[in-house]
Amino acid sequence: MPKTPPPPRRPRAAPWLAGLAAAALLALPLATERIARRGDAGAAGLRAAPHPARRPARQRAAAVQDPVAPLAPFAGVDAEDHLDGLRDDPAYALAWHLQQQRIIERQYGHAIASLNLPDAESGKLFELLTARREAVADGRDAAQELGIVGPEAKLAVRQPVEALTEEIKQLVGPAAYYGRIELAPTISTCAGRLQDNVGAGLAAQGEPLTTDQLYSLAADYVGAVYSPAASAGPQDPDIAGGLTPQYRDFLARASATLTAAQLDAFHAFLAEQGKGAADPGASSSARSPQ
Amino acid sequence: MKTRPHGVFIARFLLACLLLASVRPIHAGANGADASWYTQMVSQSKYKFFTQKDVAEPCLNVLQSVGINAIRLRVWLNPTGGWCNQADTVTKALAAHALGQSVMIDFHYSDTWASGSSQTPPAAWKNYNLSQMESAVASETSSVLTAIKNGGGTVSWVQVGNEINSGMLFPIGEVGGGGDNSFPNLAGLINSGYNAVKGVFPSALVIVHLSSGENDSDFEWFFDNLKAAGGKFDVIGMSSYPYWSGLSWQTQVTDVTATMKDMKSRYGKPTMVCEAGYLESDPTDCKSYLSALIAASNANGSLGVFYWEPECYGNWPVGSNYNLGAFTNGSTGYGEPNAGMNAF
Repeated sequence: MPKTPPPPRRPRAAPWLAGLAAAALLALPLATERIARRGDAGAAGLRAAPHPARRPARQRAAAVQDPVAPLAPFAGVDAEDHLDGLRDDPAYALAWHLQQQRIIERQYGHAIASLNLPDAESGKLFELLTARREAVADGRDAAQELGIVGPEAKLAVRQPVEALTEEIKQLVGPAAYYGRIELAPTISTCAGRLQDNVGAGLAAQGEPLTTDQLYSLAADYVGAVYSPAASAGPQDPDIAGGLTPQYRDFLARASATLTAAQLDAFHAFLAEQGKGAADPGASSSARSPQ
Repeated sequence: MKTRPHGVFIARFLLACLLLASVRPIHAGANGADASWYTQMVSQSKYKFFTQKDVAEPCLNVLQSVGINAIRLRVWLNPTGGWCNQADTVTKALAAHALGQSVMIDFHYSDTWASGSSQTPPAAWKNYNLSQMESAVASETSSVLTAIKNGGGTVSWVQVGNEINSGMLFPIGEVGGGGDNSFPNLAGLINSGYNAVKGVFPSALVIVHLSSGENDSDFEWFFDNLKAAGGKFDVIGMSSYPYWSGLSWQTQVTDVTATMKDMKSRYGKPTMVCEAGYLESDPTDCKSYLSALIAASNANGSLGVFYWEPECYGNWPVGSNYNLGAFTNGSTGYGEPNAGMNAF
């Protein structure tokens, strides 16, 4: 695996602009820097942490067992995903590419690590996922340049994305793709929100969740609350406990990975939420806009 | 002759209502279809539509026969050929209204398709500044809706812009170019449309519609910024296509559900699936997908699900052959709803 980030897949800058790109990298307020300025220590840790797939397997295994103190900062980084309008600026091309890598790391990092692939394959998977993300913007731009609009413009995006998805499926196998990769962004987002809503309180009580616990809980939550099966069943909370059938299902699944105290905390929080309309897996409405 | 006490009658009536409710699933939201193409298909290319029982009917009636109770119509300002202009849109809106179907008007504010990063203003508005553009949005919105109202119709929902993830009416209303400085511009344009809608149909709900309902973070980013800029909206609209996202339909529904829950929780606004579609060649999975999407919509207080251009079949549209319609060449040789539409 290369120790430094690979060059942009489709370089847009002339070589002499590399210096400019480097300057832009230093000058632009990238995701982690913006978050660090907001005083989010966990976010600042993201910049220093290499992608799990680039670490030796033993180190990777150790990392996922660590308690979640410097957990990747899910809340607050969403706005950084939306700077595509700058990517055609040659000075920004490299910065944009690195930003796409960060997003892939945030969305898929844990899923990639959990596959325990050889380092070369992990790296390849990471690159394919990044390329697929960039292909969306490439296809969109190409359609626009050619004046293609409407459904045909969507086709221009779909075709390269589909080819890369097939490559990813071949690399990891269909079971791992559908079981771990396809839902990874949703699970990753949910993990962050569960940490914000419940995990932080548990950590303060001396019962922190490990990274593996958190992602396992998030997968359980997504399966129990967001899946098609969850929507098909009854939705009303029971009168006595305040828990919806979906929350009860989640707690049943979660009981395998949580201590009694942790389970109590989730139970209390979900019961409270079940009385109102808010979804604890959703973001906090109190969060200030970017 | 004995007279029955009123109490018994009321009790029987309530029991009957209860029985009816128990045998027929309650769909809280609209069962919708965007059928904007149908007048062009019929008039220009002589397409015909049949029910699943092989009875020839007008397109909207055929859609109604499979449970479609709401019609969505896109409107362009001066499109080539005239299809989907104001006159064509009013014709279709009044036809739907006459059938008792609810109507959604989808303003593209363009002469052609406006979606995603293609948001070209109408040629007539090309050199407008922000203030002029806001006036033009208000005028166009008001003009179309007033024409429907004057024709005796009504409108339940209005989309101010179509799939405006990157803004609309570029470049004045474009967002996402870094720094997000143009959200105030976009909010101004949206609010012009919003106010114009309320001026004609005060009870119509105004929808701000984005593509890729599976990407919750896109929605958070957009609506955080729009809200901060003072943008007004009643409903958060989304598109949901496994074909375009590349996801399995199960993952698509899971992700869209997460977005629905988050939007409701974060902004206190209902959502609506303004566009959905599936491969015409796979009606079985189409039905599974739509059934799950409708269930998710109902379970999360969403206002309904609209299938985009289900009436497409054969080689429509000429030259590009859109493959996400939900009609098929039936036994008559003409288009009839496929099994996927039975999800509604």
